[in-house]
Order: sequence, then structure tokens, then C-alpha cells
Amino acid sequence: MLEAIVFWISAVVAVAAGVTVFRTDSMARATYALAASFVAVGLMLLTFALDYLGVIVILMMVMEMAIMALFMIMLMGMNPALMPMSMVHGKRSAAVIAGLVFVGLAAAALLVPWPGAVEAPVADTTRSLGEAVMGSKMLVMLTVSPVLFATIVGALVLGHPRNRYQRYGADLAADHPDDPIDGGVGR
Amino acid sequence: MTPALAVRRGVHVLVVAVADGVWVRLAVERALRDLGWVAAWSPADADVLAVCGSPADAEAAAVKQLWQQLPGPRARVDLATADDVAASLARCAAALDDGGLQAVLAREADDAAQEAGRGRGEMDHNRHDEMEHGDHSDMQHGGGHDQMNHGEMEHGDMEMSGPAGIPLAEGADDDRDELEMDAWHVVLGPGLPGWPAGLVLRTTLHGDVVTALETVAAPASGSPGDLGGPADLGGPGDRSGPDGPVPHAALLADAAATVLDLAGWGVAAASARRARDDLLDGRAPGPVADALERLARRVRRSVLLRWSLQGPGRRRAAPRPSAGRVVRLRLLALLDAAAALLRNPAHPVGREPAEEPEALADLAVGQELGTLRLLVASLALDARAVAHA
Amino acid sequence: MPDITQAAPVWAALVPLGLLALASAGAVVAGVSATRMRGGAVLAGVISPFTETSRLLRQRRRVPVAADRVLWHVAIGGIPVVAVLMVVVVPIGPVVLADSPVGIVWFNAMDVLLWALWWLAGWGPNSAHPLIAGHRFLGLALAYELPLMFALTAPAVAAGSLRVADVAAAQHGLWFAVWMPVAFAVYLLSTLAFSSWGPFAVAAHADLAGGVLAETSGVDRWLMLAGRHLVLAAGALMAVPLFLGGGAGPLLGPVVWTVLKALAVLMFLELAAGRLPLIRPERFAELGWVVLLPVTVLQVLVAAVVALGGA
Repeated sequence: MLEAIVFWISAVVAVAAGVTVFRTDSMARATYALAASFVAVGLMLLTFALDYLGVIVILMMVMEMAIMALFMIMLMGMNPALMPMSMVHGKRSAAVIAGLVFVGLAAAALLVPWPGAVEAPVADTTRSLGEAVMGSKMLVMLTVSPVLFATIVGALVLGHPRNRYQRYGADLAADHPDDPIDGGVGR
Repeated sequence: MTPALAVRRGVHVLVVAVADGVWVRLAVERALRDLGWVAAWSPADADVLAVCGSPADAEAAAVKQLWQQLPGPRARVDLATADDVAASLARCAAALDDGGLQAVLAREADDAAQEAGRGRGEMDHNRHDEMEHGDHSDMQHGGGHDQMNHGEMEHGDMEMSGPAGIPLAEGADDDRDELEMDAWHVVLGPGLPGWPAGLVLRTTLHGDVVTALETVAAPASGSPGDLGGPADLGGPGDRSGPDGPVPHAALLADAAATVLDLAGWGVAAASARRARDDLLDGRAPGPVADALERLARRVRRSVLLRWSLQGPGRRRAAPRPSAGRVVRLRLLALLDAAAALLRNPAHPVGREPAEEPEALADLAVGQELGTLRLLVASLALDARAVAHA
Repeated sequence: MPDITQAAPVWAALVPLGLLALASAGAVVAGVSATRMRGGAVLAGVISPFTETSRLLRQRRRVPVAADRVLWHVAIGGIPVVAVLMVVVVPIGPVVLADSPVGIVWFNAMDVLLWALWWLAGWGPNSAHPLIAGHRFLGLALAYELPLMFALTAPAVAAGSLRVADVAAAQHGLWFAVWMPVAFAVYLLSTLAFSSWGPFAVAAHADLAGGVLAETSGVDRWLMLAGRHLVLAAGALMAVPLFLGGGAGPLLGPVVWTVLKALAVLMFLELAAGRLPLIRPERFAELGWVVLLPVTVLQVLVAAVVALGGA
């Protein structure tokens, strides 16, 4: 009963916060409205007794929103006070697509014959999640993780304006990189 | 000295030193130590505004701004000379407890805020000025718009002048990391704690990186751009105010204490301040010189301070010294010079052969704002201001 | 499985009060240290948190021009709340307020909330120094967070469970702090960092006129200052079951031992302020990624090998 209440309140908060992202005028508020929406989703997962997933969603999403706030302000930047600016573009096409997707998802949620609960959920959902991921899906994890990491590192290296020749000299012979601000380890 | 118990405890005082108020500031800090009061780092933290020295017109306007930024209950004391500091501060404490006076001041503050708000069409409290400049509405703006499809975009009623009348920051091209960040201006001005008296610098920042410096007002000893490194510390005998090596050493110790405070090493800063106070109290210079030498050894040996300021050591010296290295070397030079002056009053606090004078702007550009604060503190302008006046 | 019972929600009010008491003890220690540095008497230092509280509660609040009040007050009020949320999973003796099977991950999630809160505290006042300080905090946070995550994983791996009570019970007389010193050191360092205290006080340091504290006054300032001590106390309290054996100890009983151990860690943390120079974030960034991260991963490997070997 308590879980149902929490679920419905979280659901309403998640949707309302999601709408706030587009209605508010400040980038920082938009980002943290999105964070609130994600936290509400995390709470919903907690009500399903998916403890690990729920907490991880909260953790990762807040961390990401904290960093995303910097980028949103950088790329869209309006100042912290409320500046009236419409942030929606292509309103008509977006409304059509959004409507269609909503109808499709709602139809799927309501009309698909989901399997009924045949057995009680596992006592330790974290362990069963771990076994599912590390057991049958181990190959996927082993390939996807390094690829993701390599992509991130590669994007940063390619995108950085100062490359290693500028830092170490034309023949990479300098013993110390030439950076405007020195790092702590001398790399 | 006023007995500490008779006066209220734990009052936070914003000590503002205007151009000729260096000695008054030292006297005020000494009195704060006796009373058990705390020097505040910002006006929001302060109960009392202690103005040290006689402000000129521009400075008086800045001091008035600071006064308006103190939240209530508040009291103000203007000390043109170092006489009777303790009694004036005790009177401030009494004023803080005076309910009627505080009600009047609170009404004044609300009226001032309303006037400022009416000027912008918005009800709000105080506007920042000298310490944190108004142009800081946003950091990065505008870059992303060019790629969008303008036909479908609605700007609504976006005005280029931002809300509350504060204009938005403009973009700049010459960014250190090629990020096209907006340039905004922060005036590091007269009332900043840990800042030399009489110096007002207007910085242009890209984010937190300093890209340009402009001296709006300089102390009597000259603009910081002209001044060299630890070399030019002046000799004894060419100053106004108290004369002799002991007061000069006290000023050098005070400058070292400021640098150590800004670097976060409170214990070492406290040692330097104790040495300064002992010298101003008239204690024998010998033990104080010992204490300063011990402190200098401690600072020199501190691996953490060295690593934090200048990063890891290099096998070969860098072509140009980093800002952090300069700060550390100057700090050590201040402590060494203070001790040397006390040991040998005729010691010429002269140029160290290995150190090249670096102009402030060269060192500070490309560094972040905290490093600029350290660099300015390490210049020890207060010590020179008195030496050259 | 140790017999830890989940406390009835009626006891929920005790947790914030208990944490406040612990944080007050920490604040007293910090106050004495700061007052001695200023040349004052020890007694003045002992009462300094309380004189400061009375001063701040009498002070008026102020709001700078065009400040984002919602976000600012969320940040100011949120820091103490996060501190309380951090400790709901810590067992005090035989009871715990929230016996979550993923208690360690919950603690980690709460300390990540501090990323958002410190940045918002910098963004909210619409002022130069807090803004820069908030961004500096994020720069530091990016460096310490991954090592912290692995440092929190190491005890979980060694105990075979993410539940805090299991980790406390798995220490069998040899504390994790003894044979996992790297994880413990990184944990303590990260506690200092996410409380913005001591050598990691980048968000609230003098070289930016007090950082995020520069524009706060009155109740707001009190909440932020108290929030820092509360978060430090929460970190110290969490260190007890994670690395210091929980409530295990002769004679005195689990509750007393937990409190004593937490007090010891808290004193150590509080005294770090002023005794070590500030570690500038640009130095720490490289150190965190290039040195600390591989070392903590190796620590987790060691813990895993020991756990597999012993099990």
C-alpha cells in the first residue's frame, strides 16, 4: 500500500518535472528539474524492490545532471534569473511525433499480453541481477565496457585543441609537458 | 587593553584597509586577537565594518557599498589612526546590542534596497559592486545558436540586457582552451580581505581563467605591473609611519601570513601573525627572529605546499617559472627577509640573484582566480607601500 | 547474518538528533583548533560553535540581486538533509533505521547528491566568487569520485555483500582499515572533499572570499556551516562499519563503541582544517585519475583475491 502511494506520487513528480524542463526559463533549473525527474524514477524502481537499480539510477543521474548543467549553460546559456526565452523548436513536428510515440507506448503498455507473475520475486534481487549480467551476458559486458571507455577517451583526445606535439615538442622529447597550468603528477 | 570578558564574544569584523591604513589595519587585527573576535572573509559574514585609514572619494563610495552589504545587526567604525582601537571596537559591540539603533539601521538598509530595486523594477536586496562585479550574469552564451534553423526558432522576448538590468556577458575569441567562453569582469577591489590596501584590479575572466588585468587604482608604491619579485622589498629608513627594521619585518611577516592564509595553511599563518604581533608589541627581536626562521624552515620543507602550489618537481627548470613556483619562492623570501632584518638591522633586503622579476600580468594570465589572489598577496604591496611612501 | 533489526520509524527522529550531537562534538573540536590558532583560550573555542550559532541566528538573511532563490535554498537546506540520509543505513548497535540490502551504494548515491548541492550553492547567489567556487568543487569531485567508488567497493567485495551490517560483521577481529589501508585513506580523503573541509575545502576557501559561503548570512550561513560538520560526522560514522569493525569491541557494547570510533575518526577529520595547505584542484585532478584510481582498483583486486581465497 505504501509502495503504491510512493509509486504514484513519484510518477506524477517525474512527469511534472519533465514538463518543467521545457517550461522553465533557466538552464540550471531545467537541468535540475530533469534530475528531479530521474530521482523520481529511481524511487519508483525502489518501490519495485529493485534496490540496486533504483539507487544506481539516482546516483548516476544526479552525477550526470551535475555535469550536464555545466554543458547546458555553456551551449544554451541564459543567466540564472528568469529570462523569458522559448526553448522549443520545430513545435508542430515535435508535437506530432510526441503524440504518436505516446499513443504507441500507451497502446503497448495496455494491450500487450504481459506474462502474469508465476512465482514470487527472488529474495536478493541484487545477486540475481549480478548473476544475470555476469553469467549469460558476460560477453556483452566485456565488449561494451571497453568500447564505451575507449570512445570517451578517444573523443576527448581528438577534441582537445592541444595535442601531444604541442605539449611535448615536435619530437616528443621534452621531459615535462608544456601546459598553461601544471598537473599534479607531471604527465 | 579592554578585558575580553566584558565585551561580547565572537563578533566578526570586516577589516577594510584603504590606501593609507596599513598600520591601522595591523592595530585592528591585534585588537581583534585580544578581544577574541574573528576577521571576516566577506561582508555577508560580518557584524562590524572597520574602515582603516581615511578613504578618498572613490574609496568612500566603495566602503559605502560594503556597508550596505552587511546584513543586520551591524556597526561601523572609521579609524583614521591607530589610537584607541580597542575602545572603538568595544563601542561597536555596544552598538550591536542596541536594539533601537539596529532598528534604524535595518530601516535604512531596506530603504536602500527598495531604491535599488525600483531602479531595476525589481524588489531585491543589495547589489554587489566592489567585491563581486555586476557583470557576472552568465558565463557562456550564444555560441550554439548559429547552427540552429532560424526559421523555426522563436526567441520570444529575449533581451540582450539581462534581468535586473545586468547585461549578459559577451563572447570572446582568444580563449586559452579554444572554448569560446564568455568574457566577464570581476573587479577585485578596495574592500577585499587579504588584498593590498589601495589596489583595485579589474580582471577579465573566461570562466575562472584570468585573461586580462587592468589596474584601476594602485597603492602609493606603484602599480603591481611594474614591481618585480621578492627583490624590491625596499630598505629600512625610507618610509613614513613607524621607522626601523622591526616594523618593516612586522609588515613582511604580515604579508607572509596573508599568503599562508590564502594558501590554506592556517597554523603557519597564525605563527607568522604571532611573530608580527610580538614585533609590534615591542618584544625582543631575537626570539621572534628564531620563530620566523623556524617557520621558514617549516614552509620550505613542506612537501604538500610545494606540490600544491607548483606541481611535481622537474628535472630541468622550465623556460618560464610557473605562478605557483613564484608564489612559493616569494613567500620564502618574505619570511627569510623578515628574519634577516631582525638579526641584522642593516641587512639590505635586496635582490636575490637567481630570481628574475616577473610582471604580474605575465604570471597571472592563464591562471585561475585563486592563483591570482595568491600572486597579488605574495607581492607584499602593503610592506612596500609603507617602505616607499 | 548478524541479527540487526530494522528500527521502527518512530525512532527516525533520533537519527538527525544523534547526528547533530556528533556534529556538534566535531564543531567543538574544530572551534577549539581555530580559536587556538587565533591565539584565544581553549574555553572560548569550546563554546565558539554556540556563540557562532547565536550570532548567526540573530543575523538577517540577505539575497543578492537576481539570485536564483529556489536553487540556492535547495542547496543550503539540502546539505544537512543529505547528511542525515547518509546515516540512515548505519547500524547503531543492534538497530538500523533502514536495513537496505544495498546500503553502501545508498551512501555513495547520497554523497553524489553533494555534487549537485555544492554546485547549486555556487550558482544560486549570482555572484562571482561562489560561482567559481562551485565549479572548482565539480573539478575536484570528478577527481575523487571514482577512487571513492572503488574504495567503497573494496569492503563490499571483502564481505561479499552490499549491506552495511554484513560488512561490519565480516571484519572478524581484523578491521578492514588494517589490510585495506588504501581504501580507507581514499575514503577519508573523499570525506574531507565532499564536506569541503581542510585541504580539500575548494568550495568554501579564503582565496575566493569564502567561496560559496561568501554571500550567505544568517540562517542560510548557519545551515551551510552546520551542514559541513554534519556531512563530516556522517562520513565518520559510516567509516565505522565499513572499515573499523562496526560496534565490535570488548566490554562497552556496540552502541558505545560505534560512537567512540566515530568520534575518533571525526576528530581526526576536523583537525585537518588549517593544518594542511589547500590542495589545488588542478593538481589533484591528475593525481586522482593517474595514481589513485589504479591504486584503488588494485586494492579491490587484493580484496577480491583474499575474499575468494578465504571463502
